[in-house]
Order: sequence, then C-alpha cells, then structure tokens
Amino acid sequence: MTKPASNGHVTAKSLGLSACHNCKKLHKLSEHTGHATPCCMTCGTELHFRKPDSLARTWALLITSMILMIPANIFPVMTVVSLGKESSDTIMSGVILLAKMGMIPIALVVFIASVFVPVIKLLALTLLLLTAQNHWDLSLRQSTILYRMVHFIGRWSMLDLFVISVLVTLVDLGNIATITGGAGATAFGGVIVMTMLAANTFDSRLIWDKKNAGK
Amino acid sequence: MHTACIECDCIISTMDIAEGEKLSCPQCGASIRSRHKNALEKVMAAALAGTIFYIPANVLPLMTLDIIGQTTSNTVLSGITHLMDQRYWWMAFLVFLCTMLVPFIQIILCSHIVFCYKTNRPHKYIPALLKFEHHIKEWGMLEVYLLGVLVSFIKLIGMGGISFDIGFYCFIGLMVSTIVMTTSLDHWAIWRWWENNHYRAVNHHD
Repeated sequence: MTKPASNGHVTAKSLGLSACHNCKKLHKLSEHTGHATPCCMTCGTELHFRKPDSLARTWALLITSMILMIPANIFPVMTVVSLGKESSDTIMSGVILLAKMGMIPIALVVFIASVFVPVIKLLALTLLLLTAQNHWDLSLRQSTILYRMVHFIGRWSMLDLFVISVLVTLVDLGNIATITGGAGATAFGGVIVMTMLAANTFDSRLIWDKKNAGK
Repeated sequence: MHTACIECDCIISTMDIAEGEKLSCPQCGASIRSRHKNALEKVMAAALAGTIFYIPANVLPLMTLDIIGQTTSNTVLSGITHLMDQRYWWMAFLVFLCTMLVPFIQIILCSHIVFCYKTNRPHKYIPALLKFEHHIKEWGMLEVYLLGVLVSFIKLIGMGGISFDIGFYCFIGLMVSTIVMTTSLDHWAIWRWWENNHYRAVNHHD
C-alpha cells in the first residue's frame, strides 16, 4: 500500500530545517523552542515548519465559501431594464440566455469562469484537505499539481464581477436600457475572495508529509 | 546556497542559475526561481511604462456604446463609481482593489525596490516592501478585467454600435507593463543582496 520509498529527496523538516516563507533562507529550527516563535534573521518573518493551523483555517474559509455559493446562485447578479421591461439574471440563467442567443463561445467562457471554476475549486480544496488529513494514498505529484491549478485559476472567477462593472456603466441610457447589479454578485464576490484565501492558507507540504511518515 | 521548496519542502541544493534559466523543484515540479535576461532593466522599463499608462488607462474611455443615437462610454474608474452609486460597496471595493489599487502599489513598490537595489541602498524597510509586493501580487487582476471588457463587448454587439476607445489601448499597455514588471522581479537575488548588506542599514543614514 505504500509508495516506493523516497527517491533521494530529503525534506527540510526531517533535518530540523525550515525555509523562511518570504526570503527563502533555511534556518535550523528545533522542535523544542520555548515560548517565543522564532523569527527569520534576515527579514523578521515568523518561522514555522508548516503554516500554523493550516487545515482548520482552510476548512473555515472553505465552508464559508460553500455557504456563500447558495445566495450567489439563487439571487440575481444583474437586472436589465429595457423599454419598461425588467428581467433579472442569476449566474446560470445568464449563461443559458447567452447560449440561446447563439453566442456559444462567450457562454462557454462565462460558464467556465463563474460556474465551473468555483465548483471545481471547492471540490479540489475539499479533496486536498481530506487527503492531507486522512493521509489518503493519492499521487503526491498530481495532488500538488491540482493545488497549483486551484491557486492559478481562482482569480479568473472575478470575470463576472468585472463584466457587471462594465455593463452597469455602459448600459446607462435612462428609459431605453439600464443595467443594475444584484445581491447575488455581492455573495459571488465573497465566494471568490474566500476561496482565494483558502488556497493561500492551505499548506501543500502537508500532503508530502505522509511520504516521510510512511518511510 | 540551500533552500527548501515552498510546496513540498524538498531541499533544493542550489539556487544559482544563469540568466534566462528557470529552476523547478526536482520532486514536485514547483517553479522555484526564474531569472529573466536583463531582469533589472526590464523591471525599470516596465515600471516606467506602467507609470505613463496608469492614469490614461483608468480615466480614458474603454468603449463607446451607441444605441439609437444615444452614446455612453465607460472607464475603469466610472465602473467603480457606478457600482458605488447603486450602493454595491463590496463589489465596488473588489473592482477598485483588483484593477486600480493593487497595480498602483505594485508599480510603486517594484520601482522603489529596484531603485534601491541598483543604487545599493539597503534601507530598513526593504523587507517590508518585498513581502508586501509578494503578497498582493495575486490580487492584481488586470488581465481578468481585460477579458471582462472583451466579454462585455461581445455581449453588447447585438444592442447597438459599439467600439473600443483610446483608454482600451492604454489599458492593454498597463496590463502588459505590470505583467512584465512582476514576473521579471527576481525576489531571490534581492533578498540575498539585502541579507549581505542589511548590516549597513542600521548605522547608515543618507
């Protein structure tokens, strides 16, 4: 059940070393330091083997963003008033509307950025947290690549908010057509910020610790 | 000089690479350091270009929409003020943060850090600047905003005549400048410079 033993790579923690998160300098860090947290001599950053309370903090942010996903998808993100007619769109109904109008590529872009990416991010972070917590036997390298992807794609979800910001300004023609924002967009902004913070608090080194423990 | 991979804690035996080379972690493949050719000059040039583009990109019209003779145009700034008018404070704040505030801070920080490095002045506040630059990097989202502008453009094609304006091209200039600037900045080299010279910062005033 265990993977083949380490292929010659040594972790800093197993040598009692910790790399400063900011300046990357390696420091000798004894497990039994007293009350004060040791700090990097070069830049003053607090030194830890692993990010403190990484799992608990990431869970908290992840659950918050899961809860925010509900209002983000139920409430309208945008309301269009055109010649007296008023229509509100949620994230999903906006995508469907675009697809119905025949703008398939743009519908796909919006769908990926505002539906697919947030959902994948929540699922991937949950998987990574469970892997780190229960020492599941997933491919370490692939888990790290998954984490890196979560980190990279998160910001692109902001697309929908930026589109709203542009449309609200541009389509402001009094009675002919006006676009206003919606409560769903506020919640959606919360989802993005929370997942980005969650990706930052997660420590991917926890996934690799299993390898050293099982050696 | 040794360090450890930030993603898998693997010991990296050397960080010394030639200009134009990239170093990845042998265990997990994380990018550890990349040195661009003429990195310092690139950062300075991009910071200067960014400074020139910054105000036009934010206050000149990005697009103009023409519906039955009535025209409107938008700027990055008006996108934020409109959201504030409609009392969507949180959204307005996010757009302001990601498209105006963070790129502005990045330009200031990068140019100052590189200036101090080039003129060999290890000021006491250099570590704070480097840390801050590193932490806010992911909140600068000009390229995402550009995609948002393009999506809006396509969405509005059916409504009336729509065209790009001068601000749009300035915005692209600003976006390219900040990307070149932040990717060329070699944190490792500057940290090591600081490490070797920071003793001078304490008793050196100029």
